[in-house]
Amino acid sequence: MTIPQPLDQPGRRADWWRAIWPAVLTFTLGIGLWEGVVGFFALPLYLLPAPSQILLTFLAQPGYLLSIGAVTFGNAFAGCVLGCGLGVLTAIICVRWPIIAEGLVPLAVAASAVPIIALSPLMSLWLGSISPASKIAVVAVMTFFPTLVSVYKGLISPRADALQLMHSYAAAQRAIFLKLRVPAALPFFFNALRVCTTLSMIGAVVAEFFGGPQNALGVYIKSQAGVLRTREAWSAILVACLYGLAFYVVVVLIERVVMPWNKHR
Amino acid sequence: MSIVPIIEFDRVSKIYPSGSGPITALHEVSLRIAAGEFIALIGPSGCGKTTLMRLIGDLEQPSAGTVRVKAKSPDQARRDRDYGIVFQSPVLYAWRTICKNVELPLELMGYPRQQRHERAMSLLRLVGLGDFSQAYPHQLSGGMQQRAAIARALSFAPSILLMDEPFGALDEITRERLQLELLSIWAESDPRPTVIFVTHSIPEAVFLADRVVVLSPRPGRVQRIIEVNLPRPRAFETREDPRFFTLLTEVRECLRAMEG
Amino acid sequence: MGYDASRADPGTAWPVGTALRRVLPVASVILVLLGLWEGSKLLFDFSDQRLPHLAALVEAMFTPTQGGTGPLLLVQMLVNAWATFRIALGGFLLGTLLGFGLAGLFLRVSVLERGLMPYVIGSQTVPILAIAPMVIVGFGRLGAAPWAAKVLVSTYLSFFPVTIGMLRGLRAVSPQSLDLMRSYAASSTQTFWKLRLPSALPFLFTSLKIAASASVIGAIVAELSAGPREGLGVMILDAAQSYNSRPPALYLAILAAGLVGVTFYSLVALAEHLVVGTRRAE
Repeated sequence: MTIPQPLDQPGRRADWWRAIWPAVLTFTLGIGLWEGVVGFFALPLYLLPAPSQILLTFLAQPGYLLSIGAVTFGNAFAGCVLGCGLGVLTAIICVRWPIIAEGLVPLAVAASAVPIIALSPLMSLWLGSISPASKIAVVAVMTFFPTLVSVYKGLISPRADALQLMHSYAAAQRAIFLKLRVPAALPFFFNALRVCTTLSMIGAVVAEFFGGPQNALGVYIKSQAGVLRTREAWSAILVACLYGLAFYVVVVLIERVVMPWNKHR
Repeated sequence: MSIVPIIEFDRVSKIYPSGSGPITALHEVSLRIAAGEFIALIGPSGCGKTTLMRLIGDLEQPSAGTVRVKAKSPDQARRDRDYGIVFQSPVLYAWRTICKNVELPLELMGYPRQQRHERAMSLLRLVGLGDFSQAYPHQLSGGMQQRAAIARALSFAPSILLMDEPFGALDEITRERLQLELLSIWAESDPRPTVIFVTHSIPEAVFLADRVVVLSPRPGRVQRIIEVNLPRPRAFETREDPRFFTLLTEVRECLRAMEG
Repeated sequence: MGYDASRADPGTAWPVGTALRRVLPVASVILVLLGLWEGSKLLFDFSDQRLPHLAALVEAMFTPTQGGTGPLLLVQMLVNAWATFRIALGGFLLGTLLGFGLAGLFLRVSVLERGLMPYVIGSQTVPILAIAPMVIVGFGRLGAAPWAAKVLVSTYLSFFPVTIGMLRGLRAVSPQSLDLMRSYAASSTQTFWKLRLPSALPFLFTSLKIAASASVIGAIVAELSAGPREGLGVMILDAAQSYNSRPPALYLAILAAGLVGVTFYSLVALAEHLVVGTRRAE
């Protein structure tokens, strides 16, 4: 016997505002506090610039900052596609041949605990510190393992009775895979993908700290911070966050389209 | 009835808001239940029988009308620990042994360790789980888990037992055995708790109850109250008594009449 | 409806056979990977400069550092690994505490959750390595100990998974168990300790494991930036700079970083086994 749950439907506009006002409020308060603390204690610029200064620095050369951000984001995106793609592929192989999974999945779990950024200098030595390949490789390795573990978990998540039902329809392996395992794995895949978006942008920036072309975000932040031009460094960090957030939001939107049944809070 | 009622519904309505307009789950229900009575609530799904039980237990608030329990508000009765609840699923805590699960309410009520352990053990023996006190819930079958849930509800000797389709998920054989066990535990308790037993099984309602309250589908109203004058203690043979069949038919007819 | 022995806890007895069956596939994959390492050297003719022989790595471990006067490289690895581990542990503990606090706060005051959660999520898009140098320089000027800034960077990375996991766990309680507690007129403190916390533990440990590896990343990243010249981050930087003269050192430094991450993770996994090992999902 089901009890109807109270739903609040009417007034989507008002709902929307009710959902975001606390976030807007804390944003305003937070920025105000930051601005106030910097102004009140007259913090030196090298320590922490005020948000207004960061914004002004950004607005002084938005085109340039966004363009070097795009270079870094390109690496992040390529690495993420490569890493997640290979992760999904490997997960499928693991489901098809369980003996491989038994050996590989525990190692992948362990590898998720490894600080992959430590590979950056090695990748630079192998693939060239200026070339994008070394950055893409770091991001790909970073995103590969979480995707593999998560998608594998998703693919094996259908319970025995669901599998037996498919079996009773005399469904072919391929049909079981497409009609049962893939839909079951989708939420797991998107969970991993969301984590990977932010991970890949951070990974790309970090990888550039070990060397990269002059027109890349990580290199720019490092060189500016190195000479204590913190305003410039922070405005570049802002750009990195913007790209990271945008990537995240796009993935969330795709998720909503692909899995309309899986409503998120 | 001349006795002072322990539970009293006075024109109680419950309305839920929903996407497609408000839903009236209960409409002006008035009902009096005497102390020590065994009441079965029956009706088609969606008739509000669970809602009625939840109103007594202060798990929901009425939209209109008043519910009184022992001449108090349900909220006060809850604070006085008058309710023992058994749900359709056992709701045992997976991280506690069976014994610890039964001790839970006593723990919350501040009984000393020794006393609550003894009490839990004696109840587990009563429901036939004496040997499984140290097992974890997942090691027990569904029927055994539900027995543990009943022991837990009885552990602090509440004056009112609220049971929401407690045997609904069990197989018929287990179910009939547990019905008998429940009746004998209830009969041996002193004082006897008042039982509100929600079910959608006609034989179960008739076999267990003193009175069967038949609810109509949405909006839920009390359609009829059928007195079950079968002698107690009821036994396996009761189910073969011709009067039992007469009562079954009576409840069934009543439920069918509402469909048309 | 008897006692189902087959569902009894298999953890009580651990036959050697099962252990072997679990280890064997993993060991063979490791062997295959090592074989690929040496095989690719043969096949693609990688120079020792590019990809040293495995034997060279082992040999390098037992070679004294600083041109023969320093301690063995292995000893240096261990010393640095320990330094990194300490920072990571500090960051992990602080991050866990912060995560607990935030999750508890969000559970009680839902407006705070809606107000702060977007920024908790947003905080993870900030490239931490970019901020780390500034945090460390800034803290240095404020007169704080250099390790404090490193711990802070590590905390920054580890609090996030704990907050999310803990909040999820505390919310994962079934409505019926809450009804049950309500019917006992349990106080919210009692409900927290007896119901919400125990049922959150599996979620919590999942996120603690993530936090463990995140805190190691934070520690290494912080060491890359500044501060005293110790820890695996520094070792990796040094080894990368002097790669041409001694390639195995970089591989070993990376290996050590990996091992610290895996060790920390395993410690948390062990704690998980001890705390929730007896429990099974229904």
